[in-house]
Formats: sequence, C-alpha cells, structure tokens
Amino acid sequence: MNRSEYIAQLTAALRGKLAFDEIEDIVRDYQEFFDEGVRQGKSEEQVAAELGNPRDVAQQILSEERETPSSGTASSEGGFRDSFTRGAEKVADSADQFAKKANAFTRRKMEEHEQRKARRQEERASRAVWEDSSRYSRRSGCLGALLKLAAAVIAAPFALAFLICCLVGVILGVAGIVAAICGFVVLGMVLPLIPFTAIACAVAGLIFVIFFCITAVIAVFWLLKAVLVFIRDLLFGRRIDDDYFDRAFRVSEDPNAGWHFRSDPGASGSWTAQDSGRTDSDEENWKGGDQE
Amino acid sequence: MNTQLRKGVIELCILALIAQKDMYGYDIVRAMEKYTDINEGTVYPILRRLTKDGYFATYLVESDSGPARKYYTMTDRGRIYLKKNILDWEEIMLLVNSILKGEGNDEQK
Repeated sequence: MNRSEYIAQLTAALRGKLAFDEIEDIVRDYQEFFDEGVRQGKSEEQVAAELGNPRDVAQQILSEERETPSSGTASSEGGFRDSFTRGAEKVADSADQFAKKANAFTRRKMEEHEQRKARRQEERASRAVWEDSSRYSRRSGCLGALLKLAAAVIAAPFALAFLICCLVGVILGVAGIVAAICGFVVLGMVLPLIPFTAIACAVAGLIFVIFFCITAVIAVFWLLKAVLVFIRDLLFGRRIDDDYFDRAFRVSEDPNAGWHFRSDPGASGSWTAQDSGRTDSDEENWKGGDQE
Repeated sequence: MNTQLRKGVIELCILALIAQKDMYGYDIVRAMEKYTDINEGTVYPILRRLTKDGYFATYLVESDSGPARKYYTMTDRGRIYLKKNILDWEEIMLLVNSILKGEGNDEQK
C-alpha cells in the first residue's frame, strides 16, 4: 500500500464520522509522517506498514475523539462521579493556574522592587559624589576665591615677566635672523661661523617665544577664571544658600527628622531624607564660611 | 499489553516528552521507539486528543527539506495535567508493586 492509497482508505474510514476540516487536519498529520519516513530513507509501503491498517487507525482516532480526558476506567464509573471529578479537577486546575500567576506576579514585583532599589542606590551614590563636589566648591566660596585671586595676582608679574622675556626673545631672534642674513651676505664667504651663530640665536629666540607665549596664555586664563569664580560666588553663592536655609528650616519642622536623617543618611531610602541631609550640611557649610 | 493500560502509559510518555522540549509527530514516535515497540498509528490520535483538550498547542515550522513540521508544545494546562498524571502513575506503581510483592493479598482482584 502506498501513501495515496493509505490516505484514501483512512479518509474513507473517517468520512461522515468527523467534520471535514478535522479529517483534513488528520490527513495532514499522516502526510507529515509519510514525508518524514521517506526523508529517513524508507519506502511509502514501509511507512504504511508501520502505521498499521488504516481502518484500525481510523477506529482509534474515532475512539479517541469520543473519549473524555479521563480515559479508560472513568467511563465505567458512571456519569455523576465522573462529572464531579472533572469539575473538581477544573477547580484545581484554575486554582493552580491562579497560584502560578500570583507567584509570577509576586516574583516580578519583587524583581522590579530590587531593580528600583538598586537604581535608587546608584542615583544616591552619584548624587553623593555631586554633592561632595558642590559642597567643596561652595566651601571654598569667598575665601577660596580670594586665595585664587591672590595666587593669580602673585603669578601675574611672573607671567608679565615671561611675556617681556618673550618679547625680548622675539626681538633678539629677529635681530639674529637679520644679522644672519646680513652676515651671510657680507661675511658669509669669509667667516661662515657668524651666520650660523646668528641662525642658532634666531631658533632659540623662536622657541622661547612659543614657550613663553603658551605660559602667558595659561596664566591669563587662570587669572580670568579665578576672577569669574570669585564674582560668581559673591553674586550667587549667598542667594542659593539662603534658599537652602529656607528649605532646611521647613524640613526640620519635625524635631526628630533632621537628627535622624543626618545621623544615618544612608539607612532610610526616601528622597526627603536625602534632601534634608544635604540642606543641613549645606547650612553648616555656609555658617562655617560666614565665620571665616 | 492491555490496550487501555498501554494507551494511558503512552499518553503519559508523550506528555513527559513534550514537557522536556517541543517536538513534532515523527520525532515523538522515534523517541518512544527507542524504548518500546509501539504502533506509530497510536501516537497521532493521542496527540490530537491532547491538543484538543488544550494540553498541547501546535505551531508549524518550515523545514529546509520537505513540508512544514507541526510542532507540539506544552501549555500551562498540560503541565498541570502532567503533574497530576505523574502523581497517579506513582500511586498506581506503588499499589501494583506492593501487590506484586505479596504485601496486599486481600486487595487482589
């Protein structure tokens, strides 16, 4: 029996007992089985023999179709008990599924919570770094700016001296170059030493020019920066800190809050704790700066 | 072997196989043939019924040579059903083994 004969017999045995699309579906499955068998190097006849008599197969399919999920013994146990068992199973099934879903939900929520916690910790860490840096700059405030200004003022004459040296070097260099050309033209043939010396002078002068110019530019840059920082701190420093003071005052209306948060800023996870911790320390900083 | 008993056991085997990984019909038959001499014709009707009862879902996978394969995959419902069947199986095993060892002669039918 080859494939088409087998399928034809199977279809004939099922026709009228099952819906058309179901038969089609079954035929598809058996076609696939034939295909696989052929792919494994078997002949269609061999596969057909393996499957057994198509009428028996059809019979089995029909009996399976008629069968209930709880097969075999259940059919002999009578309707009521059977349906009762089935109902109980269904309830158990849905309970199982519900439990599974609830578990999954809980697990997901816990994971999300962990992730959020980690993210918050990360943010807090980066915030702490930022605070440290900002605190440092604020602490340096007026005094720091003054020191920077003083340093710049002390450095400025040196920079100017460098600048003058540079100019001298440039003049010397230019003179050397001119002397070299003249010397080369006038005495070059007689005494080659003079023009070479002059060229060496010119090169050295140029190097000095470049080096001192860079130094001077850097010095001027730092001077300007120091002045700008000083002006910024003078203008905005106090106002910002007043704002912080207001916030700190408002937050610390709760008598325990400030102490609690300040003594243990890492333990409580809320943002208010973070804020109050920051404002408190800022306020202190500002006071410290004031006294200075 | 008794056909009803055999069918139940084959059903459990199919459930257990597909719980491990998605398989297509021929694959299942080959996997079971390794252990026992089964009639290929019996596997497909069982697969069909289990799919119809919602224990399996199917999907087609285009194969590089030849027609598409219908893969069977286990549903949540199927997993519960398998668990239940495994418990039943263990219970039956316990009963049968104890009777075969002669511990429960009064229960023998």
